Amino acid sequence: MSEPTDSAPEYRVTAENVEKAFGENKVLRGVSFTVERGTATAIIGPSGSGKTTLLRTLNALDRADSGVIRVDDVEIDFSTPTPKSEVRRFQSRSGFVFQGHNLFPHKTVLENIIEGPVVVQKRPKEEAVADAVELLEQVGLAEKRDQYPFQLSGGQQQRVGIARALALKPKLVLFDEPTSALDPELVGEVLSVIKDLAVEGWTLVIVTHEIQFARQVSHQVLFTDQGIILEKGSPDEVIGDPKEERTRQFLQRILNPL
Amino acid sequence: MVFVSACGTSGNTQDPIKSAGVLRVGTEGVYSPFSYHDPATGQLAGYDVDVAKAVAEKLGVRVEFVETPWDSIFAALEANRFDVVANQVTINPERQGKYDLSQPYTVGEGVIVTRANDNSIKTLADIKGKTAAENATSNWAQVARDAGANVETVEGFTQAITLLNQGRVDVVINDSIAVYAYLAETGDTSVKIAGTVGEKSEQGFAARKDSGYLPELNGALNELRADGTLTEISEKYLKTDATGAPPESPIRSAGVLRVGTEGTYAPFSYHDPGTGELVGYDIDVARAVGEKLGVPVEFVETPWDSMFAALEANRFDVVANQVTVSPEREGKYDLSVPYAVGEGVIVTRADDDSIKSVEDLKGKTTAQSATSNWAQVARDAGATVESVEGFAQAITLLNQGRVDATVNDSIAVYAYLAETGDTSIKIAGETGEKSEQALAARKNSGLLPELNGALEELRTDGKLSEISQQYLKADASGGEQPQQAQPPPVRSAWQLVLDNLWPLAKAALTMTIPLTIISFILGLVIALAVALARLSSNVVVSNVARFYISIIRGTPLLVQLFIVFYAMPEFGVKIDPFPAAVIAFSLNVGGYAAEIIRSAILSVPKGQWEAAETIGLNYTGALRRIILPQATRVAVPPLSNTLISLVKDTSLASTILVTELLRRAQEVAAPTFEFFALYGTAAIYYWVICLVLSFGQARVERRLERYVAR
Repeated sequence: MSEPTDSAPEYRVTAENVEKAFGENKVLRGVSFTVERGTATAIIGPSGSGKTTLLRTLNALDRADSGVIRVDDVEIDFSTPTPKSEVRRFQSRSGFVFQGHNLFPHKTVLENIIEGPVVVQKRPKEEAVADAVELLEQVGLAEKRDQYPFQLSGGQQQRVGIARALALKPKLVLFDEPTSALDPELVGEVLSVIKDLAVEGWTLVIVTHEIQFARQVSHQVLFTDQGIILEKGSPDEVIGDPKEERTRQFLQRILNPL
Repeated sequence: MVFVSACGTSGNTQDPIKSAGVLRVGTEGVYSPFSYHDPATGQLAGYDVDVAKAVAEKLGVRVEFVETPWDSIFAALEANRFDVVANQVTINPERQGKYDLSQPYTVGEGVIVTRANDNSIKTLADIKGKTAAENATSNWAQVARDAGANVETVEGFTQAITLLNQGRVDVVINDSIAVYAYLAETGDTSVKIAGTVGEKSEQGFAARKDSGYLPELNGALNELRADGTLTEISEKYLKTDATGAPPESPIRSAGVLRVGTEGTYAPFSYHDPGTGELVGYDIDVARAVGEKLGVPVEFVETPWDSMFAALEANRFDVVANQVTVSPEREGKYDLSVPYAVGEGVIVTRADDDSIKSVEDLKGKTTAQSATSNWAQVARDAGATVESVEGFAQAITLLNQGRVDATVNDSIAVYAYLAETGDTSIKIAGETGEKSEQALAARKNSGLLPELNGALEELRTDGKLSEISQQYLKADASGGEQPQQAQPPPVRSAWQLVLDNLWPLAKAALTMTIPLTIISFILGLVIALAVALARLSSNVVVSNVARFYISIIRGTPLLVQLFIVFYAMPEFGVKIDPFPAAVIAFSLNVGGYAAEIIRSAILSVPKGQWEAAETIGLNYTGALRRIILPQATRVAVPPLSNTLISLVKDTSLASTILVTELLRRAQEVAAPTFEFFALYGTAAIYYWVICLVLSFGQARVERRLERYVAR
């Protein structure tokens, strides 16, 4: 299920000077970064620093006010009007895993996963079902295919959410705090699935508070603060030896809350 | 205390209205110029309203008006919502059987109203197969139906004229007074009076049967008539004196009834050989009439041949002497309703076999009273007529062989045979003519209402038959009179309900249910579009939707129906009843359900829209596959409410001529007055439909709950 190696550019994501405001509140104030193909990038930072908004602009769930973002082969300059079809093409390059999973409650596990492939991508149903079953095996939920979301635990729901995102065969998978709504004992099963994906070579961008997980899994860490990327680098650099005072304070608070 | 209240009760039986201190009057309030609201002042006004006020004033009581639609006015009267109906209630035998009707306070005739450019209708016969607009319970509806017209039932005269103008019906039959008043008031030239239905109509107050109100009501009306008040009110509202001839005063006010009779015409008018007293069928009938009218009777004995001359000379008021009703006489005299009915027979000697029919009279000699219609019959047959003084003399001449035959009424002949046992003569044949005998008065005497009223009472209470048996050994009182409308055979309420179970069910199946289903489906489509428009980020679109919802929710459904059906034709949009109802109901459901659907859509978490977006669904796809299925679960209970309301609201379509369940029930209830039975049946049908829908709702809800944690 690993993503195919192709002739795509070396950078899966290139973001230049992205700005976004909600009314008077400037959430992103010129953010630039890149994500290399087949790597995992963790975005950490205090609440309200703009990390979730940054993630959502990569899928155009939140439309950036200005800046240029390229995902895979689709580049959009958000300071100029963009046709809807182009935005759709942009969105189709990435999958999104929500903090609160947002599974469709009226559809079974299997129906949730094949909805996109069958309805949007018009793939044959048998093929989509076969893929979905394989994905479910991968996330360890093969026997739950015909259950409704309400019959699953939180961790299981989130793993279905991941399978749903992967079913579209995206070039990039975005995770918005995938474990922060879960009971502590369920966090592990979800993180382990994500870790497997990283190992398999998917390109991932993960907003997370799990610092240890970020350090273990990611190739790159972005530390956001007050709408900018204050510090970026390898996990060992940013988490192991932060240069900025604010980064250090943040990590201190997370790792030793008392 | 108990004793005092018992006194009060006995007082009620004497002057019930005065004892009550108030006269509660039911009236339409929308029947100009009889009962309507003055556009300038908003006050209830009109001829009937003012007459009722004047009556109350005469009786020294307060008057309270209760405005009630015509179709339920008698039901409300029965339910004791008021004491009398003052709303141009036309007096007819059915109503007289069910209600106490006062003396008339307006008299008109039925006229046929058509569009001015319609020349296809001139008489009642022409309305066969046409469509008429009439009040369900009005007698004009029956007149139209009897003439073979389809009757669309309407709420009132104004609505009927509107339908006529809009070309939805061909004809309206109503009272000339109402029509003239309408034409005078509106100056409407698009309709015309095309003909008359040949029926006089008299309108009076109606009260519950055996109410005991009539003496007071009639007394007050007499006074109002005498002091000119009634005429004054009539001229004010109707621009004419439509109060009719004083119906009761002439005989009663004269205080005596003078009766001309032969005194030599046994068994009708003769002197009892034993006592010498004037007796006989006609004599006793005349006496009984006098008794009913509360006046003494004076008999003036006059030979038959000068009888009518004496009548003309005012020697007496009426002739009671087996006066046979004939067109000639009707032209010359006022003839009462018949009180004896027989047929013309030919009497010969028992041994004479040469005469068997009228044809055989040719060349023969008959003995007849000169002015009797039998003389004319004999003459027409070619017989020589010997004039005689009376029937006894004619029989004598026949027995003596001086004449060959005499033609007379079967009643007289049978009575003679029974009385005398005479075997020398026989009834040899019939003239084939029925004969009806009536009281005769001078033309335009104004005596007929009193005479007829008294005769009808005598017929009803059996007195007429009794007198007939006494003198004629047979009931010749003509109990079944052809011109007397026979009350319809009375069916029990239960039988009526049984007979109408299927017609009502059919109305429900073919109208109420399809109307509900079609309107609901169209309504949901409209509602979804409006809900989405309302949710639109486009300010213009969402405000248009908001305005639509506001209009629909802020105006009565009945008004919406009336606008679609009655008002749109003014703009050239004429819609048939059923589609008009569908339009109005769909738009209405659209307005209400839009808010339900909108809030159901809003109840679906925003994350669902986002999740749909991230898997690539566009707006329509997300709505159809993700949002609406979830919104449905939320919307089903309130939408079921809307559907169940709609089932019942379709009954309003009865007001725009859709023959759905309620209207069918109204149509059956109106002429039979069985309101409870039929409306009760309709209610049960509505309830059953709603019950089935409730079960359906429960099933749908259970199905939609399958993906929700319980």
